[in-house]
Amino acid sequence: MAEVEVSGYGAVTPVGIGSSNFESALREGKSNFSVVEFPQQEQLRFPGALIDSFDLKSLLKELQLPEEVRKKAGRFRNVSVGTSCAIYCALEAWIAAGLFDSPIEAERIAIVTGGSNTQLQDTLSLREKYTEKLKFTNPNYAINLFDTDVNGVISELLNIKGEGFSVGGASASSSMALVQAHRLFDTGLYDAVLVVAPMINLSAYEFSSFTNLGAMATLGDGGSPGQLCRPFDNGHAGFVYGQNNGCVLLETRESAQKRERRNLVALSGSGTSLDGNRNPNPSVEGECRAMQMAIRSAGISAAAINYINAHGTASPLGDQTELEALQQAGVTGKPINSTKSIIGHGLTSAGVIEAIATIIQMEKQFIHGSRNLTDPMPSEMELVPETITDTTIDYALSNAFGFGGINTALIFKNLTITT
Amino acid sequence: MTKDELLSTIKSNLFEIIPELEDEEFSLDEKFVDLGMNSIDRGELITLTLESLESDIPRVEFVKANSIKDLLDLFLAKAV
Repeated sequence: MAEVEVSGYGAVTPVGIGSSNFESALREGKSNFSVVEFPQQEQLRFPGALIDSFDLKSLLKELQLPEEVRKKAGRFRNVSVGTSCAIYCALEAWIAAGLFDSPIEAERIAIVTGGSNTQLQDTLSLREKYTEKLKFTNPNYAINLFDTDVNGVISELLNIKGEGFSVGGASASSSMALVQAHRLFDTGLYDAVLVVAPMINLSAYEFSSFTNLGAMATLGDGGSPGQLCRPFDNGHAGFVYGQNNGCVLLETRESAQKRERRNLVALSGSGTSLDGNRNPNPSVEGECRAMQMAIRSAGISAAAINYINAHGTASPLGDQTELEALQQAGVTGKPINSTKSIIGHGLTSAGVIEAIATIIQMEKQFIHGSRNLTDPMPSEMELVPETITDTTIDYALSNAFGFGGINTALIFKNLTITT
Repeated sequence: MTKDELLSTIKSNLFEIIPELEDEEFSLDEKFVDLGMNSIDRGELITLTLESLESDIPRVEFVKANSIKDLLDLFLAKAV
């Protein structure tokens, strides 16, 4: 499969809006976990990493955009919170890729969205509003209820006419979107694929259900929300939800060279496997298979990987399974961190935002510390508690696994290394 | 509801749909399409106004409305 370059990316996270702020937060291990309350619903309280405030119109003023794009971007109405954030991410990626100055033909660009069932709170709010007056339900709901509304908005804003669709994969959704985007290049139809991952907007029902499943960490009696997400730590007790949005622009080498881009990182391998298991328990064999497939497709050996961005949700069984799978895949003794320890679990958007964290670390030559790693699990891997600076990553492995036995793995290559 | 109250309701719903119009001069006779509204916006204006009035008037009665004046006249005729 083709090696495709990363020409641009954009991010909106609880720890920073824009990739430069995201980068600073990763370096400093700056997190933003808080208590999420639903007073209308029986005083329920959960931990979460929320985006403090997001005002698209005022953020658009700070971006270097053609004026008509700026105006248009601020005028989309009846879009979900995730779509608003995704607009910002897509614009940031487009600017970084220099696409306003040297464009690619519209029909040679595709857009793939990662995530299904992402607009849960948005839908709940609408239903609550119209419960007593169903016949007046806003006609715009018929348009924005689909997960591909974000494709519609972004393709209109940026003039993308190749093809567009959304990809589901539970907590591996947006990583699966990158896998499918990677495969799209094999058709020869596209010079670029924009991969978008809007946040999944959880309502109280999902918080409650994940908690009752035992998958989500709980506040307990006076627990500090920032201490709860502990990937690969012996005190790990489940994931903490984080509102994350990201966008990656992948481009063929040929197109990037024609447009005179100097990209530093490429997506050079991808792999995916299924466990044949409906339940949420992970599989060493399935995860290992996905990683091996990615490694093979990148045309490298497991030993060439010198950094792993783990799925690392802080699920006791999940963390254990991932470490064993890495061992089995021959990826051992290398630095590994979990970006979720800083930004929480984006669920459907985790794949893309963590791919962006991987790309940033490769470009800027650092490995961020994995927070709350005070009592690390025994392992052959080099679990990284504090940020390591001035370090070159040649090949990175980024993992994402989802309920229903869905496993994905991506290999990113540093284009500045001499092979 | 008086004609003025009805007009005021329609206008406030209109401004919710197209905020820029609040700062612009326009006549009640101007066609919706000239005000920058597409068919979805028009449908939303009708729905919002029906909702504001808690009205049972079937939507199909408004199919011919092409301007604010049309909408006003139809509402006044039907809401007896």
